[in-house]
Amino acid sequence: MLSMGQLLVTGIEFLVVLALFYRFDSLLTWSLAEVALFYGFIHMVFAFSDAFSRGFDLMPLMIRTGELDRMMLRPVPVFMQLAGKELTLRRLGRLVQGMLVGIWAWNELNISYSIETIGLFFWAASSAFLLFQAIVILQATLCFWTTESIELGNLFTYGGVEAVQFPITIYPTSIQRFFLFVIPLAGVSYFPLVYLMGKANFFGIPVWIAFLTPLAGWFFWAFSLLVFHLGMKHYASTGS
Amino acid sequence: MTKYLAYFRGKMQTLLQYREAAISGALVQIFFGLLRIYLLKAFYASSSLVPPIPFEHAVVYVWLVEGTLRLAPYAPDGEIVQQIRSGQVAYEWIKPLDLYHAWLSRSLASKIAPTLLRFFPVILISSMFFGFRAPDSFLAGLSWLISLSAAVLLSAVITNLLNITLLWTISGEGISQLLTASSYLLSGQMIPLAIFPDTIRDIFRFLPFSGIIDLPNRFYLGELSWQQLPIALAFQFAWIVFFWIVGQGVLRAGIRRIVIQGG
Repeated sequence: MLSMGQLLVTGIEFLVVLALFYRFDSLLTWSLAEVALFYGFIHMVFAFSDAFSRGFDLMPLMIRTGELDRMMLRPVPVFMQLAGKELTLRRLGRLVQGMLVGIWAWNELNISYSIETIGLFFWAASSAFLLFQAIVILQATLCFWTTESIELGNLFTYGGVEAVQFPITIYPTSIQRFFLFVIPLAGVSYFPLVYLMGKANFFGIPVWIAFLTPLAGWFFWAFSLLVFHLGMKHYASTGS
Repeated sequence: MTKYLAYFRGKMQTLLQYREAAISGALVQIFFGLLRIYLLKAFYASSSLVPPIPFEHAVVYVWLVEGTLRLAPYAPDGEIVQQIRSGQVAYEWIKPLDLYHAWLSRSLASKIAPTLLRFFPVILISSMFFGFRAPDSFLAGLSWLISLSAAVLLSAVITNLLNITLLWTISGEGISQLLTASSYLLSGQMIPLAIFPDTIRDIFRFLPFSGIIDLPNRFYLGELSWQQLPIALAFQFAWIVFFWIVGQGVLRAGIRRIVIQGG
């Protein structure tokens, strides 16, 4: 039931995209199939990442109850235990609709199935996965100092999905820069996908940059783990 | 009547405590509103077709949606979920009140309080920086307020029906997601209903959800004139009465089959 609901909730977002294309033909230089590739990619990856991230949302609870102390005794890194803690199928709906839309777009755009394209796809997907997880880890790390959860992370995850499900060229430069340099979602989604479409990237940068920009997701993730470890060092049990 | 008013007031006072959450919520909504506006702007800029509504109207529409976002029916009452799960709901039946209307009072409060908290910051900031405008005329503004009040009632009877279905579903998460999804699409919260293809738009406008967001917004923008207010209110109240009757029927059926475990 929950997954069905999810499928409908996120499926409805795509209906809106269809309605907009019906009314307006095109989105600047982008066709429906191209937008669908951005859309399918980010929803698919976010669904995956969300499944491995929800455990971090329990951090404030676990700090309060002392559950975290118990985790620290186990011979497995705490962040890995947290990542696997709330592994649910709740996001199955989002995953399925993202895949359907993505596969349709891939075929519609006649993207070949070669080592280069598939490789780039998974390279980009893996770093987008880590980037979303990193945002949640950073949000959870704040709990070491505040013991309360801050909603700001949701703004970057859900807000990020909302923003980069469309090509970022439609936004003003301030928003583009934000997703290029602060939360580097453009690096893990926009550049690789534009390369797959065989289009210029509109930033005057050589297209092969698409193979490098996903590194941003990995760096961001490494940074978040570093901050997490700093938080762990700072952590003193609430002693319940 | 005073009993129900007490229920209403209690819930209102609880909800009005969440001021900080409302401020950060309003900021999040402004961000989402901006994304939506940039998307529409790009679509408007790339089409030679005549748009169904002018871009300035679409901008005002988006901000009205963000300002009144919490008006839509989207989740059951958290406390009622708890009561049903723990069995405490049995005590509620012993009280000398009509359960439907007691819950309805709470639903009303749960629509009004969060909306009041978020409406003003969203509208203030968007009218200062992001193109929100005053209503088309004084009468347009007045008609908007009147149909918005009916919208609150309509949303509350739908939310209350969701509360009642908890007697069957316990968690209500699946149904509330379905409801959220439909009301997102059908009320006009995602994009103005006018943008959908004409036949689909007309079907959406016949369904109850359009009476919560789309209809009041069109009065604000002057797309509907104040003379059309009686018809609009008749539409909204027809659905209100419908959900009011169905809700009470379903509640009665739910109470009949409930088994209370001793403990």
